[in-house]
Amino acid sequence: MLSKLRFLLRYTDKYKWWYTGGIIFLILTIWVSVTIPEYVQQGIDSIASGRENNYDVLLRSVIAIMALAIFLMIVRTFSRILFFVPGRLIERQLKGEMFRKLASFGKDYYDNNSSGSIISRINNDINGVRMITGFGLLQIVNIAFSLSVTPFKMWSMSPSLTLYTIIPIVIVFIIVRFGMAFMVRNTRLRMESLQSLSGRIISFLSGNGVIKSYNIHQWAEDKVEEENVKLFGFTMKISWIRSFVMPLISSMEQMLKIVVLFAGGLLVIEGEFTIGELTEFIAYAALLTHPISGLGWVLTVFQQGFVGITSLQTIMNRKGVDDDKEALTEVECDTLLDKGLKVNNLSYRYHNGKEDVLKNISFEIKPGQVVGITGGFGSGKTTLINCINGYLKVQPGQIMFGDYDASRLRGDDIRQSVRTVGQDVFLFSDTIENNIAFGSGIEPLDEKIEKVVLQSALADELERFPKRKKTIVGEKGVMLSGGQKQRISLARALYWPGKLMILDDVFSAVDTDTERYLIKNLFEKRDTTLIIVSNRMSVLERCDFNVILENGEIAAMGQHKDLLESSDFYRHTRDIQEGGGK
Amino acid sequence: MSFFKKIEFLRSKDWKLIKRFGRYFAPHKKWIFISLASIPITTFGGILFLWLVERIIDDFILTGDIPGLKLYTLIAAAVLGINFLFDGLYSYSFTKAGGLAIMDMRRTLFGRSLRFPMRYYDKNPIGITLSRLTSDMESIAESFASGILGLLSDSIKTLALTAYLFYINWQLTLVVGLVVPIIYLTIRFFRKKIRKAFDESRSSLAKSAGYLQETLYGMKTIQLYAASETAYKKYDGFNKQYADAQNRSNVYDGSLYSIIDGITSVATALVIWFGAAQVWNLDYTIGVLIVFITTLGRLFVPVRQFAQQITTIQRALSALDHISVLSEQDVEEAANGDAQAIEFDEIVFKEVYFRYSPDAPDVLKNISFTLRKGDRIALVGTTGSGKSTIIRLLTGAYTGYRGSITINGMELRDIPLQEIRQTVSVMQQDIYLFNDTIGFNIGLGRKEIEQADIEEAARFVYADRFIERLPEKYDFVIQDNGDNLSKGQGQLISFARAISGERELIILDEATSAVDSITEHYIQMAIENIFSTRTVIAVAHRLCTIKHSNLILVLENGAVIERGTHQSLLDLGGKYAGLVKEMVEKPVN
Repeated sequence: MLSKLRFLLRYTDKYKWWYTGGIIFLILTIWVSVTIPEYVQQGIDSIASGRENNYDVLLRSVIAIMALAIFLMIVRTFSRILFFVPGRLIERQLKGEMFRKLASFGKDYYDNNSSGSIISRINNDINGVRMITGFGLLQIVNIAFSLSVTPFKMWSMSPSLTLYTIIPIVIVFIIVRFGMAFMVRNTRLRMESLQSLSGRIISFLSGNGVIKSYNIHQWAEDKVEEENVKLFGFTMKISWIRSFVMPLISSMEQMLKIVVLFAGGLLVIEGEFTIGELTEFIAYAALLTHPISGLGWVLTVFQQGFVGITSLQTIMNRKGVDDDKEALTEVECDTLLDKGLKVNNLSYRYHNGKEDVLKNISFEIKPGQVVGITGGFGSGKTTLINCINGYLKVQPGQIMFGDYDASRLRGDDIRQSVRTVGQDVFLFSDTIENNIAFGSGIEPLDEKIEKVVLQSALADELERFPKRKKTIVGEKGVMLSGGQKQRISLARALYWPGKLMILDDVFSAVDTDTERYLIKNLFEKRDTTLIIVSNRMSVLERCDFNVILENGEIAAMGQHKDLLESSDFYRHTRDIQEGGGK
Repeated sequence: MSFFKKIEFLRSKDWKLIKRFGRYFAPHKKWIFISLASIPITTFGGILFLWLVERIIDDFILTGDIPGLKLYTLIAAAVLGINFLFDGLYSYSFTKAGGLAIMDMRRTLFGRSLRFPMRYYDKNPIGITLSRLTSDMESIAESFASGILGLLSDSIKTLALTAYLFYINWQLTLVVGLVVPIIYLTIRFFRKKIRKAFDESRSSLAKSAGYLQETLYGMKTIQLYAASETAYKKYDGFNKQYADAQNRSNVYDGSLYSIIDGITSVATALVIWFGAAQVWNLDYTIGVLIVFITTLGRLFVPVRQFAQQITTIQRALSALDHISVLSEQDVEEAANGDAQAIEFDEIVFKEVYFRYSPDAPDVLKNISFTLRKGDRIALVGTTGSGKSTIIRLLTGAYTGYRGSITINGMELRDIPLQEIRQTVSVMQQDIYLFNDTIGFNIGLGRKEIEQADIEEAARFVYADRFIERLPEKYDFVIQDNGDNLSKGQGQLISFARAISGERELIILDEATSAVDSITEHYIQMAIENIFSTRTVIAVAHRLCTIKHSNLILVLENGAVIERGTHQSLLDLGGKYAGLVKEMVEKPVN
């Protein structure tokens, strides 16, 4: 509980002057609302006393009411703005912080949390916090001020009558609390149901191609309908409470009127109360019902908001992979790879793995070298490069960039210098040029884009797209072929190449001519160190040396001609590729 | 007074929207009727209650009649109870009608969305369609539960009250009427701004949510490019837009609420001023004046709520506007007709040209070939040579080709899509697996396919080897599009899926991603099995696939440059021979 309050305080603190202003305007609002009836009373009294000598009083009270009304418009507007705006700003800030936090998590987090549940956290839980910091705080202040004045006045008029009015209030409040608990529970279930409905809709729309080609629309519709019906069920449960329980609050004013009329009426008949006092008491009872109904809502808002905070805290309190590492200076970043890199006895095991996928790997890359990594499926090639580019975290001493130990470097700092073109290409739904310039942190520059487009053999195809480089690639780049995606990803790396470029099997989906063109460009026009994961001889034979992996171990290492003699795997691969056409 | 004025606040476009979506309510008239029938009862009950209170004070308390006081407070309590029940009934059945209509709407529009052409989703991210089917519909439901519901009963009750006041003192009623134009103008002024701000906040929220989803999918890419700051800035940009729009609408909302509240007090002042003249000059009683002032509050509370209710309704209208895209977009298939498969005989491509848009160059040029029952054709060529386009045309994903494509002599564009799809099985390059059991992913819930058929299909493509080793076998649940399977296993399941339908023609768009050698072996054997029993047209990347074909078309820049069998093309020593040489890219351990 304390930590949740601290959580709230951390965000609201920045807006304390907003809230202070809000409270001042709110007090003014309450004060004016209570004062206007006094002038109404004065006006009526002056009318009742006749025209003589009262014209001025009447005029004054009418003008006072008008002036107060205009004043009320202003202060009420400000009280609302001053409370609600911080809520929205906090919402934005929280979303941003969560996003940054999420970006700092590694593979293990994303393996265990589906993006659907992350999205719902960000959207719903933060919404709960927004409700607390806006509407919730406004209501609390409002209730605190209203509830402290009215009961005091009632008690001073008649303690017994006050008790009579409190009984129905307590009963209604208890019933409504139960109703609200039921409603909150069902609102949560309804949200979950809405989420699984969304989940199914996303799943079926993503798999639309399959649904179309197998003509199973009906099945998909039935599956969505199941959730649709469930959602409706929860909606109606909530509606039941909303229709038959919650209105108890709005009827409370009339209930109290009956109670006061009866009990107070008896007092009047016994001569202990005047009719005027009875009317006044009814007015106070009515005043009491508004903050009471507000109280019910505030409790719900806080209850739901706190649940949201708990779930946000689990994310906020989780350490990012690089949280306790110091950032390098810009100069250090720039010179990180000047002495090449060394892999020392590297072994790696995945967080959910049972055995090492890399075992005792050691080799050294000097600046400017081109290194080939090859091996069969599952031999550990991709794991190795993910260790080098800092995506996977290694133990101290296992990877050294000059004097810098990779285990103590932030991933972002490593990746300033190390660019990776992976196998699974991800493109944003954005223009091709923005996808290429992505990661450079700057707007795409025409000249540079054209250069890398040419280098990555995209130029011809780009000409054929309707809007050329301004063509928007669909969600996750579905309009493109695998080869095209790979080359856009290559262009992306070339756009901001860093000092070390890692290409993970980027030639697998391109044809020979293109491959030859790409290799020529990469080898001849580079000013970077290069690691190429490939099984193609045409690539490997041009590398300074090749590392052959087998079951996570280095099976052989050396130059092309040496490997032809020392490695069966290497020779075998060569034979197949050379002999394929015969 | 105000209800009919409010109606004018709706633009003619809004009426069109309401009319279009009104038909979803037609089947649920019953609930609307029950709901509307409750209004007269509660309206009458409300006035009766007022009358009873007056009687209690004047006739019993002031005269000291204790038994009468007891009786009448009991009656008042009963009236209150009955009123409460009917008010509940009103709102419950009204919400029910709305909920049922929205359920129907979601069902219908999701069905439509499934049938939009693939092109639609090339341009519109799925997230947008999703938010139309969920959060926009939520807005409408919300406006039903609080907006329209309140507006309807409040306006009728307000009308009744106005009539009552007019009956007591028509002059003062007219004085109160003086503020109505001010309220009208105020609401009108804010309405436009609120709506604009709301539209903006909706669209920026959708963008923010869409971007978040995208970045979560692409988180690895973002991290590898050290681009989390760039992505954060973009995301925060959307959130800023959203917060700004929301805050603007807060200012308008708050002002509107406060101004209308303030106008109530202004009206009170006017009543006192004019009332004084009446009492002093015309000998009216002060009692009438007091009744008037205490009822005035009750008259203006709903008016204040009207403003909020109208805001909610406008949100719903904005949402409806978004949703209407879903009912306007053309669907490419008829609703679930029972299409019959075509008894496949032959497909003829004759001088086919195609381009993706009118201003783009041709991606297919003068393609001609014939595929007869039992043939196996392999399409070979570089990326962008047009292989996939041929397949997209064949499956009807894209239309608008020039030249002629016929199935059994019928022009392709004249054959209903569903018939084409009943005839053809496609194995896509991008394998899509549902979050369901393996058995389901093979059978896809098709009625004609039973468990035995599923297992048979799995055996046929050698998928049974790995399935049998899974703990739950065919009931193994696939997660997140096959995250818990290897890529090769996913391919095998997609093979089994295509085979299980017993369709004659199979289109195979071979995946290029590497798989482990054991699975690769099974895949090759599976392809052999498929090739030996079906008619196949394949975009081929594997040598084994090509070797099993009896016609190979080599494409380059959208044109067929070589055709023949594997051996004849090798002998030719042209493009194909070169391609094959490089095709052996995967080392076999």
